[in-house]
Amino acid sequence: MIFIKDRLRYFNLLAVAILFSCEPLVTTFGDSEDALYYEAANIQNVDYTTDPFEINVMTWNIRFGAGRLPFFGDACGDRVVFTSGEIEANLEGVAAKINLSDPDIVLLQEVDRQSKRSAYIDQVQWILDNTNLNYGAYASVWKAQVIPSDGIGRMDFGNVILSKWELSDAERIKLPLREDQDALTQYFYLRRNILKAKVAVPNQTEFYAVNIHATAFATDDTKQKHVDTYIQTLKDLDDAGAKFVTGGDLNALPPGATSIDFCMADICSGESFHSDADGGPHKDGSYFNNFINEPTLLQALYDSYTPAVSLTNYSANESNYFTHAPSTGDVTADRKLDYIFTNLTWNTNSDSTHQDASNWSDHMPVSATLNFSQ
Amino acid sequence: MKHIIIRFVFVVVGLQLCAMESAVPLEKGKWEIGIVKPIRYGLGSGREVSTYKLLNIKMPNISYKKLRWRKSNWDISTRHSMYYPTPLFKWLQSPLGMELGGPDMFALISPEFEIHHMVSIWNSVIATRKIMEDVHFTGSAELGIAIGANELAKESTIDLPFIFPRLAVYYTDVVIKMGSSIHSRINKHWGYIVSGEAFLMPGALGEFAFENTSQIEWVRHSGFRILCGYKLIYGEYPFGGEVHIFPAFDLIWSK
Repeated sequence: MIFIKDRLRYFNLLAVAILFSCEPLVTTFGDSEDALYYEAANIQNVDYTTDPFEINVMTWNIRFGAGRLPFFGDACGDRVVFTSGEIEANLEGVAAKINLSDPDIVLLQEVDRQSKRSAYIDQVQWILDNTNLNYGAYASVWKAQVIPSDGIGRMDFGNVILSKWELSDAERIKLPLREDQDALTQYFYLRRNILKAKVAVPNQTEFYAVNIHATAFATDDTKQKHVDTYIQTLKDLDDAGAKFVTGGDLNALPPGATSIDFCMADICSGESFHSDADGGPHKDGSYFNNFINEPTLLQALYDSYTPAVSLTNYSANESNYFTHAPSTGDVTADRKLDYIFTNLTWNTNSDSTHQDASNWSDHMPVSATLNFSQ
Repeated sequence: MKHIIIRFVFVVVGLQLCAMESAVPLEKGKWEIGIVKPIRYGLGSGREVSTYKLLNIKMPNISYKKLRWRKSNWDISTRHSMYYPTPLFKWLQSPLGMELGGPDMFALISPEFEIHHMVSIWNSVIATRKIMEDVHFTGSAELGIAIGANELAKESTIDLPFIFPRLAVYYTDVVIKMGSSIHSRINKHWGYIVSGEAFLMPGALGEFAFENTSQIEWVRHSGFRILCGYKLIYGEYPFGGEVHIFPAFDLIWSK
């Protein structure tokens, strides 16, 4: 009996020791966690002599390097897993655009780092190694050893801050989960976040970059909760006297947008939707009036901070500022979902909505030049 | 709780294909059946047939074992197996029968990939030696060859423990397995089994896997026993190496 007890003790100790070394099936996150840091293989010198001091900032949802390929999840497509050649070809387009615009800080959304659908290419490292950017911070939005649906398989994608200057205090801030899903779907579904990091911009002690990718497909008021958490995060920084640049894919329209119903633009073959006047049903992610005041959801953000694209400019010519073109049919941008704000000021007319980059994602980058003189 | 349920499913599927068998065939008319171990049936004259029963639903399979040599506490057998995995691959593309874009839950292979008719044939040599009273050592070497699998897209792999090395032959055409085990009886009711098995998968996007299984055996009587322990797996996958540990449990009836 003593022999058996000894053996059992051995087995238990071994089992417990190794169990703790294994990553969970689906990674869940606390309210606040450290982000993952990256460095480019070759760090490049940053020599800045501009006076007044100014930096260029870009935000871009890069659609995990899938470009315009027909992904089943968002493009009426029939593809799930792409080849390394397909992904690298799109990443080269992304890197070329970044190098051409030469931003100093880039906020990226939908970046894969260990996902079957994108041939397990670590896209954070790939972009760092193929652009003039030196440092990165990553926070997972969707991380699981396997997503048991549609052959998606292993998944790790998230939000990224890239910078020419070193990053520190990188923090993953949890956003509420969708509540319009059953428990099993919710367990395997996205866990969205805000990624915040301090950037060692020259002569600035408390300068932060804040990146967000808010919910796209929720049909309840989850998006409201995401924006509320986002605004509170920015307010905390502002109250502490920090300066920041922030942005991302808010999956929300500017207040006053002419159209709030894109169900028919996004419709896939065999689907059936009705107009807003009928009361639905609406296509998830294509309708922006799911809860009270959703069309003006971002007004508080515009009221508190300085947008790269003012509402005045946007309203004067909406189509110039559209950042998203559905992956169905023609590549024609038809809505603005991506934004940059700051509690500093932007150089006048420095903003660009890069609609020429529509081949490399279903979103187009937005950039602007931040001025530190005021 | 969901972690546990899903891991349990994986371990049940995996153990279907990882039972380390002794070289000694069952005697004529004797049979053995476990929840996860295969059904074995003795044909007499040192011959035995077996099949993984649950797996048969989606992957028809049959094994034939023949005792070749018995001398000086050594038993040496050869085993020849055949698997037809095409229905399993197709089923894994859509277990609930829904189309792409619908709620295609539990699909582990994307429906975009074409699945052809494939067969794998495995030939192994198994040697068992009684190294002391109630302690048996078994070693085995096995070569797996796949026919008709060369058009399978390499992106369609299922990159999970248990499954990846066992389906690797359909992506590489050739897999080599080597293993050994110790089966010991401590007394009338208690014993233990410790085994290790290595998979060499040349040309795969993960070329090596090693599995260690350690189980306590409780023998209620000659016709029923319970195995309980763990299975530790180190595997290389297209994304890199990873370690997993799972519970390993079985109920075995025999006559």
